[in-house]
Amino acid sequence: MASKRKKNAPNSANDAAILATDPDALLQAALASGGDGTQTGRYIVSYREGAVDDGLKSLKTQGLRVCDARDFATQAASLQDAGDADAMVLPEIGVAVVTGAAGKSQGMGVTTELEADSPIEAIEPDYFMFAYGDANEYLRGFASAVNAIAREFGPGVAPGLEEEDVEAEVLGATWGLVRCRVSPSLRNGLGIKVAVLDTGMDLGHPDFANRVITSKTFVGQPVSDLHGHGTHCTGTALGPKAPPGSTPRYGIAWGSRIFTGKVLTNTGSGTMAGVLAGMNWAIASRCEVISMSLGAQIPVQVAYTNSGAAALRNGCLIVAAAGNAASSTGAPANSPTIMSVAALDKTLVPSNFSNFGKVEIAAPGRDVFSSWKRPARYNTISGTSMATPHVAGCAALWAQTNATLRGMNLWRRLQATARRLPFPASKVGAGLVQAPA
Amino acid sequence: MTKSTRWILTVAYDRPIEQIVADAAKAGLRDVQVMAEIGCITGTAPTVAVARLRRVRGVVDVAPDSPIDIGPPDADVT
Repeated sequence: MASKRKKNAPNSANDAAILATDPDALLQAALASGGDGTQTGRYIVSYREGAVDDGLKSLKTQGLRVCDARDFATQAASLQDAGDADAMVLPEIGVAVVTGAAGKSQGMGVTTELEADSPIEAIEPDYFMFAYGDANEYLRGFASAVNAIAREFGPGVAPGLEEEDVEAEVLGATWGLVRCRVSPSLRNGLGIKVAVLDTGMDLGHPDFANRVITSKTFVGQPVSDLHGHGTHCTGTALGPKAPPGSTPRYGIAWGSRIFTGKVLTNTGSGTMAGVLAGMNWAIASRCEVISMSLGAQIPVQVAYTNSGAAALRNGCLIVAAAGNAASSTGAPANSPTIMSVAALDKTLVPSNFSNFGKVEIAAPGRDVFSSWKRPARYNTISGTSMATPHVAGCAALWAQTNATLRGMNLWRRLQATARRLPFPASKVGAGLVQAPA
Repeated sequence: MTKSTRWILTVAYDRPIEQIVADAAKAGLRDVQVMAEIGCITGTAPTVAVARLRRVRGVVDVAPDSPIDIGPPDADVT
């Protein structure tokens, strides 16, 4: 395994990068190799509680050269100090950073099967991190340099035409799906259960003819959606891969199981008690993703927060609309255990109606085309209600990529991989949600 | 005639929920719905009963049920 490694070589793929390679050079190399510039090529290994020394021993036994932060005074060790070591262990947080080359030589991969007695809890790809919030001139300059490099190495696109515009025409998908990079994704949410708690679902809608739908009503009316809202949100999160005729693709997780919980009546009203009953059912059903495009302009409710905690404990992630009052986030989205979603216009500017404050992530919410109750079958409407199922659908795709992406892990992954936007976190959270590759 | 409101009780997990339900019923809670997965109980009771419900062992919070409205199908923004 005595391969010669070039120090700080930005023109080679990042497998050859050593731990000391600076982030800017890593980013240039990641973009140059044709990637989307989100992953550094390294692996982040998380050890089970108390198992980091077993993990350290294991790395050494496998012949890796390991740098231990404990060898430095007050553990003030940076990756630059690791030089050309294969791995750097951070014992306080039970994590090891492993170079791409060393990781691959150990057979590491995000889908690696871990044995029950392994000291390793999870292996995840390392992602680039960018500052968000108000960008200063330096960051703007950096961002435009990165974009320039990406354009230079990306597929040829006519000047003046955004890459996304080309995709929308070619791929026949809604602007929202294009912006969330759903079309290029290889995932469809297979094996993941997604609950939509809303006005129900038009169960006989032709676009859902061969889908498995498990449904329950909590409002004393049949599940059949006579409002339209529930069908629209279900469509965005879970709509078909290829709608009939020239209808553009409008749905994300076409392979996921649909759980319809009718918690709002056909006139769009409900109460907290009914919504909680729906949440209880969705969590008992172990739905990995629970989408709630509803709420009220009221303070944090203990019951919602408790439910959110129960969800996360059981490997479920609840995403809820921030609200449309151009005011502070309403309930249930304002609970700390529930992911709050803000709405974006086509220009990726926060929609003028979108609530702000406690916002974790943002998604398309203006003029969103999706399914509607028959006879109309389709409709285009706006709201944080439309943004929320974009996040739910993408969450299902991410959950499919890795069995450890559940609950809080899934929440963090969605934020870590969101596309950064030049707006404060109070408006867009971590940015525009993105589907996995 | 005392007005009956629907209440949302959030409960702790360290006491069997059936016992909390039984005590809440004794304190005046009716039409009880139990949501064990999320640690919630809902039911109706006159407002004067709330103080008693709050004192039931295992009850963490009592809040009035509140309405949600996403508007009619042709609402501008939803």
